Parts: sequence; C-alpha cells; structure tokens
Amino acid sequence: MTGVSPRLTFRRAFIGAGVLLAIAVPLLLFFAPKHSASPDQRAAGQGQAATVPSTPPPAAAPAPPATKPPATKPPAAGAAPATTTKGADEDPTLHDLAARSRRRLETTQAELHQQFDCKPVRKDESASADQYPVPNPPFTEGIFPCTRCHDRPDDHNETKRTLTLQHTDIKLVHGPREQWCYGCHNPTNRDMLRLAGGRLISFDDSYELCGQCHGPKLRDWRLGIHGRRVGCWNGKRQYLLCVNCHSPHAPHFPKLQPKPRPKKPTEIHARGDR
Amino acid sequence: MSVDGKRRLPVLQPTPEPQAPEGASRRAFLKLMGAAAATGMTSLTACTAEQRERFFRKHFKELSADELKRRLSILEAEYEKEYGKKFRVGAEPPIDGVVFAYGLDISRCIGCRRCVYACVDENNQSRDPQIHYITVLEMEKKHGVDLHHANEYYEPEQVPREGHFYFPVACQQCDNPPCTKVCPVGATWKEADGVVVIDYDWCIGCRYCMAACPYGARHFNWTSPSIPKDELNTNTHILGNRPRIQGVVEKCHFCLQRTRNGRYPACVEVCPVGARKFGNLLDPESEIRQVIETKRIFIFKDDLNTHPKFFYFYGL
Amino acid sequence: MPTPLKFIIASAAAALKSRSRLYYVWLAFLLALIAIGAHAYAQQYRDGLIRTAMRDDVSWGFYIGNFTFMVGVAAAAVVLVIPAYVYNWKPIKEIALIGELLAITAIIMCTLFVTVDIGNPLRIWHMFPLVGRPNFPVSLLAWDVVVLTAYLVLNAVIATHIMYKSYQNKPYNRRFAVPLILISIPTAVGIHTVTAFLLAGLPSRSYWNAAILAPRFLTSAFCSGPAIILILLQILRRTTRIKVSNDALFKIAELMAYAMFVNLFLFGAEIFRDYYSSTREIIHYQYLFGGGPYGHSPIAGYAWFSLLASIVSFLIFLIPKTRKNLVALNIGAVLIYFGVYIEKGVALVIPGFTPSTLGQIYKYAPSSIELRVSIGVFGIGALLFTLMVNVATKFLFANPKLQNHDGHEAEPAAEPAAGNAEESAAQPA
Repeated sequence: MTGVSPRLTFRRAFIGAGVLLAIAVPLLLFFAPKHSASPDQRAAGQGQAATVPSTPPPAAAPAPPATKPPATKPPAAGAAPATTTKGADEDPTLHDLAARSRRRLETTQAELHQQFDCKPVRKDESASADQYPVPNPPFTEGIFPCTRCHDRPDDHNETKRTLTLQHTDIKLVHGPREQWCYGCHNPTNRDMLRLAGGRLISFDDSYELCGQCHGPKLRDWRLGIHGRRVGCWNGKRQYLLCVNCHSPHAPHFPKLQPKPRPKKPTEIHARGDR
Repeated sequence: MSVDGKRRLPVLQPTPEPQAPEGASRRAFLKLMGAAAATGMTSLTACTAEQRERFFRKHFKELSADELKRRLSILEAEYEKEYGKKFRVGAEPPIDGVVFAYGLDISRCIGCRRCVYACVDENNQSRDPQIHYITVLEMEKKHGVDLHHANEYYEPEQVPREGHFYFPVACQQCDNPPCTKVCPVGATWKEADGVVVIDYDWCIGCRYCMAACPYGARHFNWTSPSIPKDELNTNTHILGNRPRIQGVVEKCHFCLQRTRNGRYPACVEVCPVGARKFGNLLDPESEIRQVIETKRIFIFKDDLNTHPKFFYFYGL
Repeated sequence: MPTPLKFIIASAAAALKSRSRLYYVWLAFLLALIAIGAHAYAQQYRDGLIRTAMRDDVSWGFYIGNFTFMVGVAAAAVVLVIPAYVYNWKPIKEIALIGELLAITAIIMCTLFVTVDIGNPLRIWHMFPLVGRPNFPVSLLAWDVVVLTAYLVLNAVIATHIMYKSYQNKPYNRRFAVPLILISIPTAVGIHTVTAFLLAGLPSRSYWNAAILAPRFLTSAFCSGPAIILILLQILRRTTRIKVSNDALFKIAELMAYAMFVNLFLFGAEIFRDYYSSTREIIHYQYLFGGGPYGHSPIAGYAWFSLLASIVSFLIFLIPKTRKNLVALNIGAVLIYFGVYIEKGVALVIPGFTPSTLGQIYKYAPSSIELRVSIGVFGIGALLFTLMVNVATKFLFANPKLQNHDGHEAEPAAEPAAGNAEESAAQPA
C-alpha cells in the first residue's frame, strides 16, 4: 500500500471500527441473557400477569413431544455431552415444560468428574438418621419459600380451575384427570406437601409423597435400583429426589435428541486422505 | 549350445559335476554377509534407549512391584511428553471379595447415546478414527431382541422412536471369555474382579480376539489414535484408559480407574433415565444383586455359554 | 573351504544362472512385483492397517484369506509324498522333491501373509517360545506357529539333504530322509487341521463353527496345491531335462479328482444342513451366494464361479478321456486353482464376518494396498520357488540316476521335440 498517507489509513481504520461496533453492539444487546425479576417485583405485581420474563405461553399440548424444537444446541459430531445445568430452571430461554424436563436429564462434565470419597461403608454406618441423603429440591429460582406470597393460611380456593394469575406455566399432566394441585400441595401451608392420610412432609422428603402411588418405584429407589446412580458403588449411596429427574407436574420423560450415530466402516479413513 | 555333442535346450544347461565358482561368488557372498551384519548392528545402536526399552517391555503379569512402579512412571513421562499434560497412570489391583457386574434395563433405555460419548470422554478413545466401546442397537418392538432387525446407525430427530426399543452392547466381561482363549501371546486375560483386560504393551494386533468376540465388543486401533488435547482424561489406569497406540486392540474395562476406587463407571452416571446398574456381584446387598433378585434378567447370546457379567432386564 | 559352505555358494550360483534370457526377464518381473509389494507395505506400516479395507466389523480379510489358501497349498505336498514314499510309485517318486519345494515356499508365504496382517509387527517375538510368552496350548494361533515351523523345518531339512547329497553326486540317505518324509505326512495334515481349528473353534462365528471345516480344508487343499504342481511340471518338462512321465501327471489329476469329490460332498453336506434346518446361520450363506435380506452381495459372483469351476474341473479330472488330454487337464488345473483360491479366500473369510456379531453389514472388498502387498508376497514366493527349482534341476534332475532315487539305470533321456524350446513362455503359476 505504498503511496497511501498514514492519515488516510488511520481514517479508514477508524471508520471500519465504527461500522463493526455499530453492527456488534445491537446484536449483543439483542442476544444478551436476561435476568429474572426479583421476588419483590413479583409480590408487588400481584394481581397482574406474571412479569417473569419467560412469558410466552407454554406449549398447549400436554403430552410430549414438544411442538417446539429443543432449545439446547444440537451437539457437534463426537463432541462432549450437552453441558447445561440440571434441574434449575433459571435459564429463561426455555419456555416449555418439555424443554425444562429435558434439561433435568442432562449431565454436566463437571458432575461426571466430581470427586467422591468412595470408602466402603459398614452396614450400621449407612443406617443413619439421614438414610436417604438427597440434594435440595430443584426449585425454580425464587419460588421457595411459598409462604412469601402465600402468607395467609385461610386463603385457599380449592375449586379445580385453570390458574390465570400465577403459576400459569404449569400444566398438570400427572395422574388421573381428577387430580389437581391440592392432591399433593398443602392448601393451608404451601411450604409443606400433604400425604393422602393428611400428614404433612417437607419438600425435602417428597419421595414419600411419590411413593404413595408409585410404591414399587419407591421400594426400588430405596434399594438403589431405580433411577440414576451417581457416586460410589462402594461407599455411601448418593440418592436423588424423584423430582431431580421427573418433573412433578409433567413427569413423563420427554424425547431427547440422540447423540450422533457412529461412523460406518466405509466412513472411517486414514487421516491423510479425506 | 552343446557341451558334449548332444542337442541341448537353451533354457537350462545341466552340469554333470557342479563346480564351485572360485573367488568371485565367494567374495560376493562374504560381502553380502558383512553388509547384513553391519545393517543389523547399526539399526540396533541407532535406536534410542527409549525405543529399546519399549521394544523389550515385559508382559504385565511378569512385572515385579518395583518394575511396575517404574513402568508407571515411564508411561507418565511418555504421556507428558506427548500430550503436554500431567498424567496419573495407576495400577489399582482388584479389590478383594469383589466381582463386578452390570445391569441394563432395556425397558428404560431410550437410545440417546449419552453413555457412548461419556465413555469416549472418560476413556481417552480415539476421535479420529472414531472408536466407541458402546454400541447401541435400535430394535423393533414387534421382533424383540433380534439382531437381524437391529440397526446401529439410527439417527432420528428424537428418541425413542415409535415402535422401537434400544439395546446397548459393550464388553460383557464374560466369565468364560472366548477372547482370552485365542490370544496367541496372552495379552488379554480375566482379572480377579471379573474384568477382562488387555496389556497394550504386549498386544501384537493380530485381531484373533476380535474374531472370537460374539458381542462385537473389541475395537482395533487401525491407525494411531488421535484425541484433542483438551479432551484428555489424565486420570488413568495402566490396563484401562491410558492412551493407546496404533496396532492394539481395546475395549470396555468397566472404567477400572473409577471402579477400582469405588466409583461408578461413567456410562452408569450419565444415563439420564437410570437404565444402568452396577455393583459387586458377591455382595448380596448390592444393587446388581437386588436387580437379579427382583427383576427378571436375561443373558445376551447365552447359547454361547460365555457367562457374561452383564445382565439385561426389563424393569418396567 | 568346508563342503557345506561350498554347497551354499554353489546353490546360490546355480540359482542365479541360466542360459535363457527369459529366465532373467522372469526374475526381473518378480523383483518388480516384490518392489510394488514392499512399497505398499511401507505405506501400510507407517499409517497402520487403516490403509487396508479391514475395519472392526470385518477384522480379517484378504491377507488371512491368502494365508489360509497357502497353508492348503503347503499341505498339498502330501499328494505327491504319499504315492512316492508310501506306495513307492516310481513316476511320482522322481518328482516328489518339487512338491516339497512348493511346501517350503508356501509356508514362507503363509508367514509373510500373517506378518503383513499384524498390527504391531515388531512385537512378533511375543509369540515365540523362550523369548516370548506364547499362549500355548490354549490358543490355536500359538499351535499354528509350532506346527508351521515344524513343517517348514521338516521340509527344509529333507530338501536340503537331498540336494546336498546330489551336489555331492550321491543318492540321499534313505534311513535319514524317509522317516522324516513319512513324518511330514501327518504334519501336513496337522498344519491344515490347526488352521481349520483356528476358525472352527470360534463360537461367535457360526459360519465357521462347524466340525466339518477341518475335513473341508484338507480336501480343498489336496485339490489346489497339486494344480500348481501339474502346470509347473509341464513347464519344467519342456524347459529342463527333468523327466516327468505323463503317468505321474494323470495320477496326480486322478487323486485331485477324488479329493474334489469329497470336497464337493462335504460342501453339499454343509449346504443341506444350513438350508434345510433354516436356522439363523444361513444368513452367512445368503451373503455368500446372494438372496438374503441385505440386498446385493458383492461376492456372490465369485462364489458361484468358484462352485462351477470346482464342479467342472472335478468332471474333467474324473473322466479319463478328459483327464488324459493335456489341454483339458490344464484347463481343469487352472479352474480348480481359482475355484479353491476363492473358496478358501473370499468365500471363507468374508461371510464369516458378514453380517457382524451385532447383525450389521459391512461390504468388505480389499483395498489397493492389500492387493499390492499380496502381489509382493506372491512375488517373493514365486522367486523363492523359481530359485529353488533352478538349483534342483541343476543338482538333482541333471543326473537321471539320482532322479530315480533308487540307483537303477534310468531310461534314456527323451529327445526334446523340435520347437518346444520356444513354447516355454508359460511361467509357473
């Protein structure tokens, strides 16, 4: 580029940078992750439509497969498994139940490689008070404790209806058609669950509730032969809550996109010739 | 043309008394011998000490405790040099009183193949050319477990597909393995905890074991394996997932680097629907024994009498 | 200089000398083949066996097919040895050595085919006793190493002894050689039985897992090896002073006819069992002959040709009129050679792997490198055989007394027909 003055080059660079910024900044702003509203905002907004940014209405069809394609990126051929955080619903780009259920099923690399101290356990050691050490229930962020909003124990409308003010994203596809929220939730204290006999249990022991109808599954779960196993075969058994994998409101597993098929023998070549 | 007056054919002239050609041939012969000897010596001395060590490596079972330690550190140094990462190559022995067994619930498997790729990541399998220890077969419900209607290369948009079910197969860690019988050099054998292992420093790559395996579980490094450096798993076992070389056979080894330290194999942990079970067959309280007790298990190709430690069952 | 060294040097000289330019052209051609093979093998050694068309689903292919065929050829020396030394039949006794030389060549080719098929050739010493750790007696491959080496050593010792003695212009020592020769008969049966057991012992491959495989191997071997000898003897008869009576040729052909009959019968028995019982195993035969659920089979053409060639050549060798017609005899020999080559190569190894143990189909066909390496190995074999036969013609067959092996006066040498000298264009197969 002989013959071009330095001032001209600098000007061209300046203009070019400006154009790039003009394109990039709107794109970044458009695709930036949004943060969910704080509980106070929601409490203040009681009586209005939910301001949770996951606003677009959920999928109408109650049963999977989802009408929308899964929001997780399709994995590249031979790549590591999709790495999304399991169980927590704070990703606002996922609107529909099926996608949320799907994310419960995925495992992160970090989980696969997390450290466990797998020392053999003597029988009396395992029969401790905390016999089923489960993780925290996978609540949507900010949703618990329920009594932050439901602070009036006498205010409970037990008529079966479609909710329009809050929890509009929950579609109950679980159990017989007569089933409704208060089949499991406790109307007088929303921070507890209600067993069929009336006994109240914490959300941390929700498996007891599931086991009322799904007895054989609970039995198998206790033995360690139902559900995902993580951790030590030769140490203290790690348990997951039922709801860590099964959405309590739409427990049927959604279909998943399979990982890429293996290469056929005709597709395997020396690295030199492609 | 004629030596003694008779007509002779032009091609070969038979000589009644073969005479040793003096001088010239003998000199040529000795020259040739000298050259051959020189080449041999040169090639031996031209090898580096590392190459000589690698050539003369002993079979794993013949290593004393010290030699094993030395072998592990040699391997770690080799891998560090090649991949630029610090490797741990362990040699955990089988745990006393433990025989591993595996359970697979084919009423639950949805054919998502997350186990396949978790295994690839965990066990340093070659990405190019591709090696998968686990093969998932898509089968038709109306035919049941029928290999003539099985497809390894299914790729629908979503799984499970209507009318189909899924059947993953990997090394069954047989108790009567047909593969260990046929190895001509004894490079593969069954360990005390039931896992069939391969000594990658001893395997000559004849692939007889691959012909012998009824489950298609063994895979060969047709060329040198290649793994992206950032996807390497540096926590390895010498008989398990340490990086392999061109020309050796490899297969599932129940994630020795995990299981001999009390952990589940990678495929068990990643399965999103909980179709995989693992445990100690000798412990009546173990999960796999509970499965055998409460579910109905069946053996794949049991007519071949291989006695696998891989139990398929229908949990639902 | 001690006589053994003299003998080695004399043999080397004799092997390389010939009055015919055609001989040197032949040698140059073989060296060119060997060069092609060596170049191809260098590529394969560097990049690994991925340069072949073998993959996990079909993990043995062209090389092992050739190996199996050449073991059969090696075992076929028995077809000459039994009439010569067990029945003392003179016409064949004169030429039995050619069979032994062919056996040596074939065994060396077998070893080469296995070596090029191995993923880590530098580790081959792991298989040898004392230095390595062979899995003997459980592994059939370890057995194969033992019996192949034993057969090679036996034949090498016998052939060297006979040639050394004839170099010294003496008849060979019967008390030394004949027991060894007689031992080589069960050893020949042994090498091919072990090779058959290698395949038949695998429960995972139902196409091979049959007791009938070992007898089939032996009978097909006894057809194919002598076919080479038939053609070769006719060439040698015209280009050298070696006397080969037509009786010898016809007797060999007759024995081959019987062997082929048993071969076809055993094949028929296999076909009946599989197709009549109609169990899962027929899927492999369907891949071989076509008609299965997996569509077009790339090897069906070869399989049908092989079957037809075997039947036609059987008939040619059976009917005395066609057997005793040299033209028909040679056509039959070529047909039987290729028929068995396909039967023991393509039609044996590939359907065993297709469909795979998990029911998947990979339609294997050898790659260019596999073909070139195999051509190189055949070149090495042909070269070795040419050189050894050249030495034999100079040392043994030059002297009719020695050729007869029994010290009697030989028949007067037949005058070569005019013009035959120039017809020696056909080369050993």
